[in-house]
Amino acid sequence: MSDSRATDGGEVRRTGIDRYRHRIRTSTLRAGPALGAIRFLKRRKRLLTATQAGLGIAWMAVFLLAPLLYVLTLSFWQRGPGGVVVQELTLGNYHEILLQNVAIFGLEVSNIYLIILWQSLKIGLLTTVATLVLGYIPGYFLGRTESRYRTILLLLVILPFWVPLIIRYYAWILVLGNQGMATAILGLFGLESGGFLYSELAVVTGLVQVLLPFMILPIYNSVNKIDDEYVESAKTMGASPLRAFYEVTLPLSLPGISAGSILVFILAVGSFMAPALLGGPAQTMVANLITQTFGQSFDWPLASAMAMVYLVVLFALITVFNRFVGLEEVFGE
Amino acid sequence: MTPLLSDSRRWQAIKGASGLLYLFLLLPLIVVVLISFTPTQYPNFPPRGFSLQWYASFFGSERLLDALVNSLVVAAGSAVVAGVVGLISALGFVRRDFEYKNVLSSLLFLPMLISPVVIGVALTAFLTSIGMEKNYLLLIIGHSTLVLPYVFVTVRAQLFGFDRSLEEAARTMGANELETFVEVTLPTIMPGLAAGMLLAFVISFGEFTATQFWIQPETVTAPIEIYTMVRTSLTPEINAMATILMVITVGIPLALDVLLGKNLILRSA
Repeated sequence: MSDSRATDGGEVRRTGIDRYRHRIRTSTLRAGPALGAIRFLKRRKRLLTATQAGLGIAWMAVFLLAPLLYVLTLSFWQRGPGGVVVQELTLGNYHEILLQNVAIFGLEVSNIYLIILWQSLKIGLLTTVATLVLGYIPGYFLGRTESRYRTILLLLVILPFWVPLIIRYYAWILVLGNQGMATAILGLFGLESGGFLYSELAVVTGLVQVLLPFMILPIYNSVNKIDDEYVESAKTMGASPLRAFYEVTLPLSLPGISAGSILVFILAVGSFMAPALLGGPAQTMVANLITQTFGQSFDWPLASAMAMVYLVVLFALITVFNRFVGLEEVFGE
Repeated sequence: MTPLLSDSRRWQAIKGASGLLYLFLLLPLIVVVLISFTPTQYPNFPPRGFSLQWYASFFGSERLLDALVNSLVVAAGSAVVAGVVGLISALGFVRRDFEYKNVLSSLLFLPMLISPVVIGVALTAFLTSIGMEKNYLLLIIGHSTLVLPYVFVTVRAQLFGFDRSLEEAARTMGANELETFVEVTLPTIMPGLAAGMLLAFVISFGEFTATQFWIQPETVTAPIEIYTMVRTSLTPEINAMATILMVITVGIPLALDVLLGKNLILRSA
């Protein structure tokens, strides 16, 4: 990276015949083919080492940043008749999703996009809290246990992560559906149920189950690192086990908690499959709305504007979160 | 035993609650496998009887087998591409210093943070606008982008623990740069690379959300077929297919883990 910049900056701009003269003077023709080959190889080696990191950066620039920039541009264009994109700058899409109110049953209700965005954030928060409360227990257990089965128990947390997501969500249809396991079990106690699908409960249950490993593993890592002696000395100084937990273990496991929480929140808010498979129309989330707008209404500019607002809101939230805890915990260094 | 655990009652409660959570994590998947052997038309619980008919109908369906093959091809291709790009970039990031290194390395994690719906939409809009078709290449490019962070992070973790004096020793003994890389560096970081590529394969193999924007009828993948079946008609065929996919994504890594004894799965966590 720095190499190419140096030559860019240091090169003198030559014009006209000068340019050709310079090229001939420095060319391999004058220096002789052997010298030229050596110089070429040397330069290639330097280029090779300089571009190692550049390869990954270039990949993301071309296949992630450029597409995102294109979508940003699209969001300021407009869908013309027949789904054709009209390349005229307009704020119409943003006006439609942020300011325009939608009437439902003749009542002037608030904006449908904002309702759905809010709903996604709410479901994301619910999922994060539930995952944290539930995930702390096995995370703590795995971090503290001296069982010789710990490796296997850790494997069992990781393995569901290897099962295709679609299967993990689908599995809940079999459990929560109207002929599913939950109904069958309730039936044993003489309780009637028409299943639990197509509800917020089903969506959050599916999300919690799918995202639990993302919470358990960082918490396990944090708890595992805590020196037993800290907890011990807290107790010798008279702290009750509960107090020792609150004053020592919990604060020291905070890095794991924050890493797990931010990951779970981000993944839950952007989920497409949980609401699509386990939720009803009332549980539509922002990923589903973007998909519908892009794939079914073929309104690419509007879908792009929705994606942009979602990204801005999400990154604003991450930035706020980052101010308090620091994201390095999530990715390590 | 640590003092905190000496209160065995409290510890028993934690153990019991953890057990319940394991049940919560694993039970739904066990249900899928159990119901795949049902002889009835509708996947109900508990299964009544035993039959392999849904496996027979899966292997008799050209459409589903094609989807399975497509998934295998795309996942293998993406694991290789992400493996090469991830390995080279991790080498560059760990061993070289350059400006804005932190910002640039977070660029490589970006696909983990952005919803696959947005990545799916953006890549489709961008690449079709410059005239690219929705073919295998698009799928492999897209999937490689999605899984690159996982390869990058596992290889990078391995490189942090790498002792560079090994390379110096090889160089002083007369090995050139390429020989050193192939005979010293690569074997040492191989467990990390293998774990990352395995994870890349598994994630690509099961990817649905972004993939739905990238397929054409000929390139439909297994997760897309499952989604279509779930949305149209719930047949026990889904369970048979799901069980086969789980055997591939869980069974193969587990077998490799046991055979090679390299803790590949734990490494990928």
